[in-house]
Amino acid sequence: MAEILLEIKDLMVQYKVGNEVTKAVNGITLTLEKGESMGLVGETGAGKTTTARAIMQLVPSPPGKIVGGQILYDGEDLIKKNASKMRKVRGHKISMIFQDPMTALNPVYTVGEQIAEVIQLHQNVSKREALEKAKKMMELVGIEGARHDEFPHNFSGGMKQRIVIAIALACNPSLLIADEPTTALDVTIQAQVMDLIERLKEEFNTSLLLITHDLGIVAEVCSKVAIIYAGKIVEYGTLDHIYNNTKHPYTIGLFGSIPNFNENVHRLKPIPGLMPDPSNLPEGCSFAERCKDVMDICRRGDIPVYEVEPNHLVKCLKYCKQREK
Amino acid sequence: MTEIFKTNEKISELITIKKKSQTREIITRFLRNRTALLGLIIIVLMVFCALFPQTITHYDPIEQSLREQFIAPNSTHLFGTDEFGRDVFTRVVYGCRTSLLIGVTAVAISGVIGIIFGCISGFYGRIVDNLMMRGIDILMAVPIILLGMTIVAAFGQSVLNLTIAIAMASIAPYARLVRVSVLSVKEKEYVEAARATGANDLRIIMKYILPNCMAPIIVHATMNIASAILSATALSFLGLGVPAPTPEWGSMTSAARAYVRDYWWLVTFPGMAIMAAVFSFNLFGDGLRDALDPKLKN
Amino acid sequence: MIRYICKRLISIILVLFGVAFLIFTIMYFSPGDPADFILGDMATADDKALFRQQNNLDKPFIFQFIHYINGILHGNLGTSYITRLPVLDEILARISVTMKLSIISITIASVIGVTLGIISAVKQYSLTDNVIRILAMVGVSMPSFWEGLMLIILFSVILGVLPSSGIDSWKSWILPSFTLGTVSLASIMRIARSSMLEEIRQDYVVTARAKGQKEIYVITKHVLKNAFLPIITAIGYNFSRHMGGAAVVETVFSVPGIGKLLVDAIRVKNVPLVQGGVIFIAFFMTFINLAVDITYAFIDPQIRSQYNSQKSKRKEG
Repeated sequence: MAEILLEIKDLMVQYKVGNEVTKAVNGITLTLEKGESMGLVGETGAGKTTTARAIMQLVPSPPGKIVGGQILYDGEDLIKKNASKMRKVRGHKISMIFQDPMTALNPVYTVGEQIAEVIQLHQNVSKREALEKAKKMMELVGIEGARHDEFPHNFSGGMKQRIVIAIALACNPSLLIADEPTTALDVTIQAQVMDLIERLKEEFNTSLLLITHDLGIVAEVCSKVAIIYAGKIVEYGTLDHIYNNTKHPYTIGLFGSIPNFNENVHRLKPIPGLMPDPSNLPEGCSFAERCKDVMDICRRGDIPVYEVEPNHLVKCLKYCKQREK
Repeated sequence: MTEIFKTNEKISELITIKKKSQTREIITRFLRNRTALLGLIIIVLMVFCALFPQTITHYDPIEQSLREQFIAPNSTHLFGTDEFGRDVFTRVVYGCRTSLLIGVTAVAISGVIGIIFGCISGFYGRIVDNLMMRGIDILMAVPIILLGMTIVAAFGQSVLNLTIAIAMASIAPYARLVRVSVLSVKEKEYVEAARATGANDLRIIMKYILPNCMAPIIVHATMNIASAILSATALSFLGLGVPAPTPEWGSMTSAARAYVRDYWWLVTFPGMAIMAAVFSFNLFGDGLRDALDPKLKN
Repeated sequence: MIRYICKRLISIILVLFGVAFLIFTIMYFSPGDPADFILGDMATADDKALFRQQNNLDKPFIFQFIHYINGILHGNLGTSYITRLPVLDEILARISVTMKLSIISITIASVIGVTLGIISAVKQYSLTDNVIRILAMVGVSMPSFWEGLMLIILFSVILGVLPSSGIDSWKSWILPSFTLGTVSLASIMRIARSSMLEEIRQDYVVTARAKGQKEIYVITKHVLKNAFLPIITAIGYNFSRHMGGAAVVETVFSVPGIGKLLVDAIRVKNVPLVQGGVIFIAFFMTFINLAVDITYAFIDPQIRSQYNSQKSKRKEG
């Protein structure tokens, strides 16, 4: 039994602006083992980035707040950690790479300095040594070490993302959170960056939490998948479970809206309707309004989670009868 | 042909309706801002003082009464009396008229000239543009107080000279604002279309360019009135502005300098009036800016 | 970089030429005859005609202007009507006082203004933020002459701790500097605040925090360094304004600087002094602004690399 690295239990995050409360994350539960890679898949606004930020304790605090649940990392609840202890975790045990490489780097510092910064924060080395290590990291991600004294604006989008990856992996974290790392890049560069992430993950034995809306990338890199909708996980299981034995109507809809290379399809089937407003979530299942299999009971109360096969969980009342059998 | 006209009419109708509801939205946004509202109220009060000072105070602002010199503030003389026995409160109230007049006039003049300059500069491009922008740079290189000093030194002290000096120093921002608007709108397709149907330059300016930049111009004009009042009072303080005995807050403060140790009320109240006036216009301008474009709010 | 400086220098020279022209023209058309003024009532018509001839006052406008420009280029800004000394000498005798006043006041204004701006931005929407912002608006609305007088009443008359005029002791610089600096303080604070707010919401700030960096360093090393450029421009601009606006403060506190010199000169219609003084100050301010622009170009890495051909050619995918 592999070691559990990250365990999120029933996480709830809300944003409060004036009198309006936006329920971004409503009870997310997931488990990540050492060396494992999980895809967190959902549409824009489903709560993926908020979850990622919550793990790092970087939810912007005047409007946002973690209001419930636990985030257990190596057995310790990150939510309860004080600021200085959490700073030791960030960049060192858990790292994050972001969606938009164009703005993720500080324009007034050289790329070498920015990589060296994270090294100096967590390792007891001199400035020169940190810079040497930074140069090595640059080589590792495929950029000439000699370019360490250049500024971010001298690099293209793909290269900037590599620098961001170099920063994230410089201190050999055990968990890497990648928040839509390739969304802002060209398709060809996407493949390069994903290859890089995969290669480094293998080399350093890093666990990966890949946040994305792209099912294709998940299929290439992840072994476990969690589908997130309106701040809740609606389906959870291995790659095989989700892709070959899709159960939740939302997940089925997601797959149905992708063009299929093999089939001759006349029209793509997008899911009708829109995700509900997180400041005004309906009672019952959040997907009810868009679900073609909706029943009356779907609109009332909390929807329980059912295990349709070992380790394959679905939050849908359709599978209630199976359990009762 | 008639169909095109009918469609044009319908479109302008829709645009007018949209404008009306937009205006209402802007007004609502503004009214919700309490500090801006405060500014507006003070401005209204000042305008009232400027227009109907007799209803507020029965004293004469200029007539001297040497037996009543230097009376401290009391129930008959709210702000006390000055070295000539004149009621300070009255002079402050009448001072509203002077300051508002100068402020509004200077801004109006500089606004109109600035807009015209900006239009010409943007429209007729290249050489004319370059020349005008150099001219603006030159005007901006001289600080307003110095420019005022120069003009007054040359042509003497008067309300007119003061207003001209302030107006001259204020032209630049309007010209620049309008010029930017002209340059960006000039090449757009709807302008080309309008030209194709025979619209001349003036029409294009009035219909397409000016409405675009009206909002920032109005906001700037409001703040400009505030700074114009400050400059006017400062120049008057230096003896370069409104000549005596016209009640003017700046010159009142200047005259009060000699008595600063013994008769504090002579200095205090006129200055507070200046502050209230400038502050209210600043608040109002801030509120206008937020109401007209909430996206700019930080 | 050199190219940039040269470009700016050329446009500056054109502007300065225009300023000299503007001021000269205004003064030229002022009513009154300098001959009357200098020679006084006792002079005869012949004396005055001679005087006019000697001083080129009977030549056409263009000639006089060129003569004046020529004078400027040779360091001759005219001669004071009252003291008969060269205008330039009069100015230079007093410029150190005004410079000192300007430097002290801009330092106070910058330090306090930037600090308050940072605090206000970091604590956006809090009570501290709102109080600071209102104080800033009050500061901008307050006439400096009135502020000076009020401070005199408080510290000189009532408390008696600070002198109200002159520059004898170090204490006498406090009130004038503070008064001159108030408007700048408010203006710098506003720019600092909005610049910080704009940078603080950028993505690279999240990256910095995600590295585990301490918040104080996130603010100073990352946000502030980016936010500083507009702040420097604001400081430079306000400093140049101090040179120009010192007139009022120097008058209130009887500080013997250029500003007071000019104000006194106007009162007695000492045209050459006013003319030369205004031109001098305008030139001075323009050069300070140029210095600020160049500093800005030096600091901003993007502008720098635009003019540094080698490295910018390395951009590739």
